[in-house]
Amino acid sequence: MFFVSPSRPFALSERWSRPRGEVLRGEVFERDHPGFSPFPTVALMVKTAFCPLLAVHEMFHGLSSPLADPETETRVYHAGELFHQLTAEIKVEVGSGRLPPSVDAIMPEVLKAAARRARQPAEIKDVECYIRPWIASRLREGNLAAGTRTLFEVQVMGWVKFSAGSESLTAPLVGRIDELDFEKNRVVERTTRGEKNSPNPPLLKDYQVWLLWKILTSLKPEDIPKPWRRSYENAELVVETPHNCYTVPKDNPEFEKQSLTVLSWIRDLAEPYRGSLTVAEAYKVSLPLCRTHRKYRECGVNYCVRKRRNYPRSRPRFWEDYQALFQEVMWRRDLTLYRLLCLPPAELVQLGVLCQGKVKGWERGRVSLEMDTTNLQVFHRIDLGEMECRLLVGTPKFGVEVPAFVEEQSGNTCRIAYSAAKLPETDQAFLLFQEALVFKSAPFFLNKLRQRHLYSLEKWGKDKREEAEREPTIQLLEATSGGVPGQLRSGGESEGEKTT
Amino acid sequence: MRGRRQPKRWNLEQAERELEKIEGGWLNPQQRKAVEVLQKESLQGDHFLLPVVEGPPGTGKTSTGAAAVVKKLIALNQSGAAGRYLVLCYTHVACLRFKDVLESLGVQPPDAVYLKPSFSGTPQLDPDRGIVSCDPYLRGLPAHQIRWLRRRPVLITTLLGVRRALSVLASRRIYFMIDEFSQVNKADFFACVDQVRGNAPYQYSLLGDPHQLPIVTTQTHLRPNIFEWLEPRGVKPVQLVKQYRMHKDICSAVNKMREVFHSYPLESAENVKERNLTAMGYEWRPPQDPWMKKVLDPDSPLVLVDTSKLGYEEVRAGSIFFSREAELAARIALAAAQSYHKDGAPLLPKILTPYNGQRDKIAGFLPPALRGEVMTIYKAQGAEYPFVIISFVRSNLNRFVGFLHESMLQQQVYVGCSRAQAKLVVLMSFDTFVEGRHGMFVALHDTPQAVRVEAKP
Repeated sequence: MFFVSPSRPFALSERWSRPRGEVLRGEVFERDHPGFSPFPTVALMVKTAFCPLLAVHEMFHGLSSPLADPETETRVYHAGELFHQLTAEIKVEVGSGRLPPSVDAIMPEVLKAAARRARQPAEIKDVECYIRPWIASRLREGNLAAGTRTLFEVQVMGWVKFSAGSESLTAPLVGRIDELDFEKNRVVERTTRGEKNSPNPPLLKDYQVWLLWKILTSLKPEDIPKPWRRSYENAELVVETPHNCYTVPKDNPEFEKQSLTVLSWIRDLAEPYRGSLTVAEAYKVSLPLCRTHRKYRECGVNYCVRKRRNYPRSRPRFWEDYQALFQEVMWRRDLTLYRLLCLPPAELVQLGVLCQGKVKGWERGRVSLEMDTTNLQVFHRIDLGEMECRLLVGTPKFGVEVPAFVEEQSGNTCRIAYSAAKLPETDQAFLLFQEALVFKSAPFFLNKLRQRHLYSLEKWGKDKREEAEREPTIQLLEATSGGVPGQLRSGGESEGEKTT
Repeated sequence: MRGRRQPKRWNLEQAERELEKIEGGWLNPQQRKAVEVLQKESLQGDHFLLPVVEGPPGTGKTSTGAAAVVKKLIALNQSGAAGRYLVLCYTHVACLRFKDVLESLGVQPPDAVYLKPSFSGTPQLDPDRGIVSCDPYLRGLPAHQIRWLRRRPVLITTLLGVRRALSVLASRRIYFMIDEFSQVNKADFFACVDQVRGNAPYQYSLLGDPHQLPIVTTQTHLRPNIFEWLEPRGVKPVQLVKQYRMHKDICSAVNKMREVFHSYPLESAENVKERNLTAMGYEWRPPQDPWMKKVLDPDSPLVLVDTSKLGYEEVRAGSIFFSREAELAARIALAAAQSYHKDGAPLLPKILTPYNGQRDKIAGFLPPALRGEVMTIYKAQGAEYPFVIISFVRSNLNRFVGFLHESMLQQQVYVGCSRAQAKLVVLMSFDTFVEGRHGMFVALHDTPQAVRVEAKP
């Protein structure tokens, strides 16, 4: 069951606009709206299913807040990421015998690891209150040790067909599976949310794991790397909370129907002209529910109904900036994903999207890759020296992707350091594969950051006049956007002159 | 309200001496006015002051900005008032340049801290040089180092690194300066404003040249820089008019291009007016070839080479290049390296082009020692070189010049030409650019001081 079941903003069309061939091949001048629909992520689908305003916030305001923990009604940002990293590490360490299977033995190690990565001390406390019950319940179930045939954080993408009644739509979808157990054929979605005695999984987590399974089953055998190739049709879908494990049924017509609605919202929001109308529609559909009921316990944001401050009286309008920044993300991130999904690896190398190297040597956290001339040219063109890149083991449609950076390059060999801490089982992956892919991560997150700050500035202000008069930023906003002549000066005016 | 009075915190004795010297010496009237305006606070009672200093190429905007910072620091030090400087530059190179200028004005290296990212993840602090690399949350820096950082009067970082600086500053009040606003659009500017609003800046200020290259983006809406957004709202900048970089002949070409922007002309300072390569100390040995001699002659600082007769551009795998023009550019660069020497070392001219494909092509015609001298105009922004060769590539029957015709991207011509100090050689097809009536190129072509030569087929 969904918490909100919004109506579609506009009639559902049966087509998802894909990038044309020349766009994929980089033969057009990239400018303004890209002319294709966005590349949705599983996370965006889930949030839109919860409330279309969350999609507005994610796409235009750069707010990617996860759904909140209903028990504490607090939002867990970085602690959630830490939880995922640490749980994967614990499973690997216990599975390899390096850690004994007991809460008391594991917790000190976990706290040490958390302290190394936490941005603030509070995060360690946050993560501790999730990890402790999680270890205890996994020990009870006898499910704390990961075998060598378990992968964490597997990225999957594909063209997924959703059908409900006479309607159907095939759309691209990308997501990350928290844990894929090949031995037990289980797809696991892990979360910090979930009440102790609840008979149901946390809200929409069942939908999330189902979407990931839909991607898996949409892949052709050749899209999956050989060591991991198998039929996932019969895989068990599991939602793992700190307290419980839930099995999710695969045959779910409600999910199919909801996916069509969700995709319709996402596509319409991204349209250049219909976008602003769709945003208005999202507010119309969602806000009355927010105002008449108590604020949703799971809602990750609290910006929708925030009071508008009295000052500044006028401020710049940012809608066009939000939209332009979003469209730039579509050119940078979504087009790269479409290319990875639609083009063969050789063409991707020619396009300079990624380069391929043979694994020559490997140690924990570092891998040496040997490249031929073509790949080396791409490698240089990517100009990796200044930027973080992504290291991918497997295929773009089914692989393990980790952030990395180039440490050293001599001749046709380069040494790449990658974040082993984030993905412990990558090391196993290197033993299975002889090739790895390297590509540059487009800095689209900077656009998200800009959107977030613009939105924060738009909502910020003061209520009291005296305070506002003493506040330089409020006066800056008033001066640059207000209509009072002479309020803004910049030093180049002649004596006595006032600007208009 | 200022914070409580404190004893002098920073050793600025040398800076005080330097400031006295420059105020009585090299600051010209416009620079002096800019420094004065940059001393004032933004909240002025009846109006809001957002100082904007417009500094075209070579007019010393960074030096002016740095002089203003030094003057303010001295005043803060003497009064014991609160306040730190946060200077944001667009690139790491620009950050280092700002720091260098501050140091040349007597600020101790540890007092002007350059904050940069740590790619390896391990923070590093070099207190003697005033350089710190760390993550945005200062993770891994011990408490005493963070305390040391918090006492520094000036933090310099990039626009993207502002989070790092704010972690250092916590909620301390600041003076906030952005150097090179041409690279800052409205969205960037207000995103920064949102980040620093917690530090209640005493002053927001902007330095830059509105006619430099626009932000690289796919979105037309995001291309105008913050000055272009502010100008219709009544912003009148302090304009620096005297340039200290280019020979007067090169400056006259730049002025012709500024006419296209409807902008004011630049004046050349006395010390650079007649400064050609020999005046810069380069020994000139004329080449045997009379054509090359004419092109390289130090007494012809501005040479336009017509490449119309060399053929046409080519397109391969989405990349545009003009092979024969690339070859000619490489030949001129080699001949220059053989003809000009200083202290026994050859002069290596910079070769600029708007196209990546042409850059690779030219590099292919050069020996390894010279390959590093070829770069795109975008990459050369902010730098200056004694000798510059530019290849504009486009040559076709339709007289189509692609993005070089776009109102915002044609600034590549202006930026490329204004990198040269004493010698500028421009390679372009007159048939495509001039006969096609492409404004900036016509302006360049019509510069009276230019020597025009035809490329040998």
